[in-house]
Amino acid sequence: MQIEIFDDEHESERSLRVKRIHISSLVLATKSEFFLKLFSNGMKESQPNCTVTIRIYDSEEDAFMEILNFMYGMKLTSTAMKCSYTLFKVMMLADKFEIISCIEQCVQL
Amino acid sequence: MSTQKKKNFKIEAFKHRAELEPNYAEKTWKILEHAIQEIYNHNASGLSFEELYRNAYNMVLHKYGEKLYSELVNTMRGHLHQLSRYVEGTQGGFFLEELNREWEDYKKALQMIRDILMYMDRTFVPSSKKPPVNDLGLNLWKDYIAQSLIIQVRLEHTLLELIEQERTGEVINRGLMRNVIQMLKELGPSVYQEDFERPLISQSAYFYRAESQKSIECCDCGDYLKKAERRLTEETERASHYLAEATGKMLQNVVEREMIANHMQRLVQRENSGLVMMLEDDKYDDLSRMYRLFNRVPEGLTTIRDVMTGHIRETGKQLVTDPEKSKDPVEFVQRLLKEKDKYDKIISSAFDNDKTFQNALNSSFEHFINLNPRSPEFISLFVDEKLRKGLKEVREEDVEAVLDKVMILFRYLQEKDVFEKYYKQHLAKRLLSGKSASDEAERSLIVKLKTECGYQFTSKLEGMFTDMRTSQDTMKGFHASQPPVMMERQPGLPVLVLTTGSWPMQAITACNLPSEIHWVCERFKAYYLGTHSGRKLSWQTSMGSADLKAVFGKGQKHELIVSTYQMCVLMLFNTSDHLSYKDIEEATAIPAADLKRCLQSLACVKGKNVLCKEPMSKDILAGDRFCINERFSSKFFKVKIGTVAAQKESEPEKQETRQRVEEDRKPQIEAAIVRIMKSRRVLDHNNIVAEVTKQLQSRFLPNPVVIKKRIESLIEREFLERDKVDRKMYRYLA
Repeated sequence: MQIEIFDDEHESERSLRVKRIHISSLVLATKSEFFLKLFSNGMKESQPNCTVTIRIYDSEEDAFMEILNFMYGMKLTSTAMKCSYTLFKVMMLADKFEIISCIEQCVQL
Repeated sequence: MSTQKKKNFKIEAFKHRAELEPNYAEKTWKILEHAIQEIYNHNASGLSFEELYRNAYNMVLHKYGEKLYSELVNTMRGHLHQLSRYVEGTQGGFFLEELNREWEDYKKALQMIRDILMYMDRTFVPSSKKPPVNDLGLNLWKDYIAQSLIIQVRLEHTLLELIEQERTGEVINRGLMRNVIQMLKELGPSVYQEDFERPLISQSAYFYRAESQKSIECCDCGDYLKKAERRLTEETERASHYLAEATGKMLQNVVEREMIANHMQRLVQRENSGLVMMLEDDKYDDLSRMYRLFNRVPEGLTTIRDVMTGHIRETGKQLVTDPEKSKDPVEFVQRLLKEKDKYDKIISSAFDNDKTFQNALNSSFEHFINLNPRSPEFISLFVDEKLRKGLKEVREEDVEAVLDKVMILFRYLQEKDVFEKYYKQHLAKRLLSGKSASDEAERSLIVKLKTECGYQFTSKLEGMFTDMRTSQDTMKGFHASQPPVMMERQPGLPVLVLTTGSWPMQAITACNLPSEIHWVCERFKAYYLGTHSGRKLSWQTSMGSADLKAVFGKGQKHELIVSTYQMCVLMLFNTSDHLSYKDIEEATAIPAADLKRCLQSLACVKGKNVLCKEPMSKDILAGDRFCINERFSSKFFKVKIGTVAAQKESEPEKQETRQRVEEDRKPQIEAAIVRIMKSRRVLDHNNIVAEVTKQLQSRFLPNPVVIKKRIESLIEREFLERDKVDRKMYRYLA
């Protein structure tokens, strides 16, 4: 998976940086409705051998990583739990990608 | 993937991306709209889901949900408008195919649109109380396509026509049917029901009404039922292929109603092929089919049952009341058994062993068997016949089977006490003449009767068996007590001592025994009374039998097996050659009726006429004269001379037995009344009658008039009294 990170402040067509990571589509699909559709509904991303690109803002990077992490381990890291800002961002992203278990855990904190 | 980075803690107000371009919403929607068009054009694989989702997400996030939704509706409407034009324009035969293909595409596209607008569906739609994208899509499809005036009518018409075609034997594309009908189902139960199911049901009703009218005119009942059954399975199969389950049920109901329920009476009553015919011809397949089909409609089985009951009663009535057929009792019972077997088999193989049918069968038999007052006698005679000789060469299980069947008939009898009377008589005859074929079978039947009717019913019958056994011992004792010289000189005399009361005895008719016999009898009497003091012995000469050695004119030697009376008559001819009827009557003192019968059997039966009669005629008259038939010959050494006794009872005998039965019932009814009153103390007349009837019905059906008489008699004897206030009430006095 390729993560393109964009600047929060200035609208631009060019990304600040690009991160590539390997993920299991199966794991993500079971946890998130968004990823499920992403990998299955017949558009570009669900074609075989397609590198999936997710665009996020710079400020969301930590939270996004946190969320990926969560989907694998079903746990938030202690750093995220301590930082309410990160936690807030995590919730926003969890809402965006419909990761219900994650929202539930954030609410419980 | 480790993302754990140490971050400095920093509180920062959340920056909503407020600074949007002025035409942000318009621009974003254009992207989405373009994508939706691409989806409709089957170009979805080039679109980026992530991008579209993100855009839709952002629009909702930036409060453009309303715009997004309404623009979506507009776009979909536009698409459907075009689509409906296209579908309306398709040519006849391909209408369904096209519709189906468009529907499949539309569903796929709708799915994708829903996916990219998932976030809106989840957040904006519930809060604004609008239908979610999927429902929206289906509703719009319904409005623009499925229920648009032209397409709706055409669709309904096409579907119904195809189904009718299939009913008339053509092959249609069931897969296509299933898909299109599935579409209607998905558009909501009301669409399916209103636009398809209801018209289908009424069309089917019309179709099957017409078909059943046509078939019933030209087919016989069996063929018609076959048709109906085939139609039913067809409809079931059709439903399983492309209709909703509930519709299948409704269609079956239609077939059941139109083809079966509406024609039930006509089918059943059809001449030459209706139910009666099937029953008569044992058409198990047809009967079973009729049972299965009629079972599906209300009142169906009742209809069959009523007709069957009526038929059994009718034929049964003919069977038991036809004087021709009741001539031979054995044949009569055999017929009943055959009839019973026949219907048992029908019920077990065609009517699923239905309890209600068995009950109907039983009540019908009970009804018609009791129509003939002689049924108890005939059944007893049948048993007599079976136990007398018929069973000699059959195996034990078969005997049991026959007896079991007889017991079934016995159960139907209302006047069981009459049966008991006759059975006692017949059993007595069997035992006394030693003609009972098998002690085992006799006992087995007694046990059966006992389980059926209780100890009381059979105690006397068992007493008869006991007498037979003790008599054997008595005879041994008697022979042992006689000096051997005497034994050789005198005729052998086997005596059976019978307990009065256990045996059916006629009034003792004194008859003069030949002196030789008389002498032995006296000796036995002396012996018996010597060992059993306080008893009284009387001779039942009407029941005995004797073996005589006879030498005829040309030296033919024969042994004659005769009854006691016949022996008395024949012995007279030892001393004289010619005797007149008067002489014989005086010498023997045998009652006139018995004597006549006995002479008839000696003189008038061909091949066994040991006596000659003048004048030759069938009937014995007071003026007749008799002599020994010196030319008598027979190829057998032993000649058995039966008494010309009607096997069946003659009319006066019948009356007499009837009388005795009535007489015996009186104390039983009285006993029942007393038993009931003892426990109830006070009871009104109707209840007494009901209770008495209930108590006694295992033995006989008491006549209410007789019960009333018995009550009056009991009042006279001060067992009961009438209540002073309410004259209908009786009070027990004790």
